[in-house]
Amino acid sequence: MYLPSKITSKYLALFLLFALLLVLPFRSFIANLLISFSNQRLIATQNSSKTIEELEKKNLILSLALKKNQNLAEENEKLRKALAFKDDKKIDMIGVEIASFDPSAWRRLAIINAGKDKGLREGMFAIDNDGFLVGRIVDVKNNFARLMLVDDPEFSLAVYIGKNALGLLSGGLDFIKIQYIDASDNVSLNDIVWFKVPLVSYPLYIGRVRKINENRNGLFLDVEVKLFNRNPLLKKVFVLK
Amino acid sequence: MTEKNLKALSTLLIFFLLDTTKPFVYSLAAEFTFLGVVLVCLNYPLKTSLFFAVIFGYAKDSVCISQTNFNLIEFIVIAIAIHYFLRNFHRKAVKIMIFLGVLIAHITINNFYINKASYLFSLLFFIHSSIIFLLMNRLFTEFILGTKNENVI
Repeated sequence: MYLPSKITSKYLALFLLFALLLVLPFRSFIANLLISFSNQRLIATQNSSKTIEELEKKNLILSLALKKNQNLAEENEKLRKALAFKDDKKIDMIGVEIASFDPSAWRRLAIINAGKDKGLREGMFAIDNDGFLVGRIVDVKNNFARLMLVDDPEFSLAVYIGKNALGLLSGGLDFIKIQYIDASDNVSLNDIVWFKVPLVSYPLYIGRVRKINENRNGLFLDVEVKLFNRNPLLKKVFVLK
Repeated sequence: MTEKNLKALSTLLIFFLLDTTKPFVYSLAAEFTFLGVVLVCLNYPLKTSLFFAVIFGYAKDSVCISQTNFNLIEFIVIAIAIHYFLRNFHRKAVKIMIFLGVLIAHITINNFYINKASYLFSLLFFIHSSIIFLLMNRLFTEFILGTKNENVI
């Protein structure tokens, strides 16, 4: 009886032996190939795992920072409510032209071509093109208003000098002075004089400290201010609403 | 109203407009209306001077922020005082002395009015006003009165 399975197994064994003998010299090569491949895989895996780890760290840090900020925002909101602070308003202004001036040379009052019809109110501040304070509205009619300039003898405003010195700026025809500045406030020459517009959290600059006189008989310093806005041909101003 | 009075009225109107428009803004420390009223008072009779003093004093008060009639009273007093001195003093240089006296009085009153003593500005005001008054007087006497009034300053 013919049994092909026996013959096949012999040939199969011979083929495998031949194949083994053929492959044996390339063993190291195959091993190197396999190792290098696995190394590449391993290195790639390590790199990506490091990147992932770093990203995860960053993510964690950011999520912690976000939580911290959320907590701070909540805390800030609570404190604002507790102290009855009002929310910041967006900057809104209207450009007006100076129609005429007070005929008296002893006052610094300008008449502007906008009044209640444009929504102006007493106490609003006016700035020039460079954003420096020009004056404050003191009288509003239907279609015009009076603007008291900073150097008017009756002008007064609570201002800051430098970082934290607080004083009262009072206008004048000769000099513009800041009163009630204590010697311990560390005011120096060329310090910027500014003030904060109510309800808006940005500063408006007025001028620089020009001169500081120590008053021997008084408690406070005499501080003179040089205005930033010294445009002699002032024609247009912007009123902060 | 005579031609002479009309000329004075138009001149004072121009001065008033100069004060309100202020072409030199605050570089020039002078009040044209005040100087014009003084000039009219020095060259016109009392009635005409009072008329102009009332009109322009009232006009100035109506433009000013203060609710008082400060300028109206001041101009009327100036008109009366100038004519009083012109009536009682007859020297050639009396007009310049009257003008300087009125100017110093105006400066002093305004320093009290603003509740602040502005020495530098007062000095500047005195100098500017004196020079402008000199020029205005020349123009006024030659072109408006039509005469070379040597008696005025």
